[in-house]
Amino acid sequence: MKPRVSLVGKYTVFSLALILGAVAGLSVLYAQFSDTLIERLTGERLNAQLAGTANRISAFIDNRIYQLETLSSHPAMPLYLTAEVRVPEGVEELVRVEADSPDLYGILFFDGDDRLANLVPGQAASGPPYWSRRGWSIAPLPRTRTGGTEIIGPHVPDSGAPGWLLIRQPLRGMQGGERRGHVALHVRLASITERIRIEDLSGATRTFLQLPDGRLLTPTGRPVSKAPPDLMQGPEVLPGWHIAYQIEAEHILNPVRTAQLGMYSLAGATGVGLVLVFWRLARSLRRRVNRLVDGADTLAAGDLQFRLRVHEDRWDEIDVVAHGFNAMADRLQQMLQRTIQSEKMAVLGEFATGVAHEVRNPLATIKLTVQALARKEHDQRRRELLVDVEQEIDRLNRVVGDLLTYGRATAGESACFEIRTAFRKATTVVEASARDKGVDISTSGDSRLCVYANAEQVVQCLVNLLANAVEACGEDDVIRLRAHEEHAQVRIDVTDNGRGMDAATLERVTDPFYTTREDGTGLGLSITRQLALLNGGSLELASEPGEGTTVTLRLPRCRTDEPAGKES
Amino acid sequence: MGRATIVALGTAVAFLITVGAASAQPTGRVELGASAAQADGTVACMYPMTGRGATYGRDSIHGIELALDRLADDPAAPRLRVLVEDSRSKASFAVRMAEDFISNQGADILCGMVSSGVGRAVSRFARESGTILVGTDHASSRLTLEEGHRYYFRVSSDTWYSHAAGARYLKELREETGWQSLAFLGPDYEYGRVAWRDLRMALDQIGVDYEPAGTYWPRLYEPDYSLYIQALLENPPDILVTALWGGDFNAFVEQARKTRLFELMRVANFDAGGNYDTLVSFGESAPEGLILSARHHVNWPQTQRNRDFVRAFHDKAGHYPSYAALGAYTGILAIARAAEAGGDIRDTDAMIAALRGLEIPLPADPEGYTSYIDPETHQIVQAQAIGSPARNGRFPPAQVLLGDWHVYEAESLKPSPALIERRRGNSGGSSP
Repeated sequence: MKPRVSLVGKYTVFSLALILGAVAGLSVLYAQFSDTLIERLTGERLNAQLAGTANRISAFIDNRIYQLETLSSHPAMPLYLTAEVRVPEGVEELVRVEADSPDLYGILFFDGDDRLANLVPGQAASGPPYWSRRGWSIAPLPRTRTGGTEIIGPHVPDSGAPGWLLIRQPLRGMQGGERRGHVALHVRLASITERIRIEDLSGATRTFLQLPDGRLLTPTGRPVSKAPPDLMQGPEVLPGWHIAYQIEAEHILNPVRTAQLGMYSLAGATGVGLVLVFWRLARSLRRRVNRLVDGADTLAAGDLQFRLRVHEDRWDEIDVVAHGFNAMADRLQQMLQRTIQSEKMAVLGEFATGVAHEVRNPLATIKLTVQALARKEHDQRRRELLVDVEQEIDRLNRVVGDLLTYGRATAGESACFEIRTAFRKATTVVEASARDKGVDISTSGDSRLCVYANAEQVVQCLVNLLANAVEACGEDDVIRLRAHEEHAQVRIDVTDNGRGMDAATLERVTDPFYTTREDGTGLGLSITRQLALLNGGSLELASEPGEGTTVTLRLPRCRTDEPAGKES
Repeated sequence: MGRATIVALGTAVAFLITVGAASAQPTGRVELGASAAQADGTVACMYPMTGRGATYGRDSIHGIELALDRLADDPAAPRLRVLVEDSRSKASFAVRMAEDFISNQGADILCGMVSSGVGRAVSRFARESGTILVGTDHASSRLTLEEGHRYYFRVSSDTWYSHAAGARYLKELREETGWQSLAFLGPDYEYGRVAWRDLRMALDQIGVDYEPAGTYWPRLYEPDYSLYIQALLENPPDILVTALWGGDFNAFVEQARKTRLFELMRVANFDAGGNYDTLVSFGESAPEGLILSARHHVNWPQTQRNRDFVRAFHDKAGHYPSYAALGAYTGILAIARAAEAGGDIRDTDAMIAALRGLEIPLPADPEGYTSYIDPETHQIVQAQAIGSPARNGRFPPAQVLLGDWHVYEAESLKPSPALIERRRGNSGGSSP
């Protein structure tokens, strides 16, 4: 039978919907986060930082221009252009001090033809023109004017030396004269480019100094070979000189995007995994549920022996159901067996009672007649025959008695008594026959245990079981009678090491009138079982051919100091 | 030029002379050795006593004291008076100070200077004033090659020697690692520029080709190297050679070791990186892959003379010496030995003649070798040892010392006559 709706399928769809919903929600959050991030990177804060950076550079250049004005307006500066007059020592000292800055290579003096006429090395002085003026020229360098100041350069770094630029002013002491000249600060280019760095902890913003001809310099003063495609122009720091910047949103967003991609991949993998798992689960579940259904169908078809296999080590929900199914089948089988047995017993009992009534009275008459004939008979042989007839009548009478007992069996009045009492009485009854066969009977276990049952019926049960055991044993065999506590019952085992029974015999041995003995009625074990059931107990047999037999009688346990019937 | 202009000029000059003289008044002045009355001669030295270079100045003074102690035990040695003042690492200040030493303090010989920029300025003054200058710590090779002159001598290894050794080390390293690209990071002043030029020349001389991966020029005494570290991380070379020294190198390493820089490239500093105070600054361990040397090592060479010097310095100063100490020690000993040989410390010509070729056993000399001043260049000729930092607590508080030494003999490092000629020819510099 196939289900119309798969529960597993429902769960699969529901789980997938949950995953997709979560991923969709996270995607929306991510998009919002990205927008916010880009806004923060490119928004007001960046503009403020760029403006601050431009101010720093302007302030640096302004300070240099101010420094330069001190020199250009000094009346003694033109002396650096003349070879004839020595510059006074104090003026030299002044210029040396002005040059002694880590941002300056030195102070340069140019004549009216833009030729380098003199120089004063500063703290960072090195390379041309301090080492050698050979080949050093400012002619090819670009020039920018700001007020009365000229920015010459920059000379970008080459393989051996850093970049530089000149901030130059005319020597004012010479204006109007015949000779003209300039004084210039020879400035480290890196002292300007280092200032274009903005405090961007994320590292997403890269800044450059953009020269009037479009060339870009990094904050370390190195030229950029290829301008980035998404370059943006920032504030101007000198005429034509700009701060340029590039927002590398990817710098920050890439890890987030990678994480997002990872999340999608994970969600996809989880979805696929989920479908696979549910598919396998559905297959497994359907297979196992089908087995349950098949089991129920088989049981319904009448095969009461059918049981489902239960994995004790796994013990999952299906195993619990299977276990419940098996327990239900067990109980159902027992109930049916009991019902059949009861009906069989009822029929047999009614039949047996009728037969017994019809047979017993004539038997009594026959027996009296045979006894009378035997007393008057002088012929020894005939008298012995009559005695045999009388004995057969007695045996027949016992059979009739058994039939009556079996057919009219009722539970007697129950009481709590020590099992050892019953042991003693039963062993006394069978002791003689056991001794005759050379069979030893021993009792063990806690014989002080008490059972709640009819004492006479319990003794009758034990006598039946012991008699059967004695009959099954040979010389020097042993019968053990053992009682011990088992849950709310007393378990009594009657064990012999006699000839035992095969499985077919064992299956039928409690059926009424089934016997393997020539002189048996086949009612002993039936009656014993009937009495055990009437007293709230049970009877089980286990036997191996050639090994012996164990009959287990279970009866309700009680304690003598408790009210009868409380122990259960 | 009008009258008013001349008057204004004269006033300004007078003012500036006054200000200049006042600003050159000694601050933190130290006088060592014999008194002015008893001295056979006066040596005036300039070292930084403040700022990042102050360690070098203080160790130089202890080195001078050790040299004077040694001379005091020698009855034949001249009695020297040594003046030491703070150059403040400024060329203008040092030149003014040198003028004052000669004009007003009776100095016969100038010495010292840590910064090559300052050394270059004072060297020019020495040439103009005809005064002997014994350089003890600054290392630009231009001072003995392109700009060498008869009054200038140097008694510590220069950028040529250290980078000639470095070039040979890099050649050996290429055979091991196959490195290809090389970048340079040096302070933007005389020393850094010359160090880079010397390294390129030395590599070229021994036929080591390389792929240039950039040159970076931070300021001297730059407090923040993050800009340059970032640029190096974005374009990492196989080898980074740096000529940062002292506190600058320590600051660079401190910043760089917080990044992946040392994982991405081998960093070499052949001239000053193995200085004792740098080893101390590494703490418990140095960054991976450093290749370092210095002008003196506390644990190389393993000679009795070096051990005695290091121990005596520690006894006097309470700490182990930076390489500046040996430079100052050597300078005073060289002047004394030249005076012994020349007869009179005040006889400049005799002193120059004595200093040329002067042999002087030094703690930096390995067994069997004696340092000497090259009569051609006036540069002391010494062996170079390059090593790698490893855990070693023999000279606390340093927890790492250099080891795995690669030693290059002094004579093999000397600039060839052709190189000397080429460099002096290029600069128009004069032969001493």
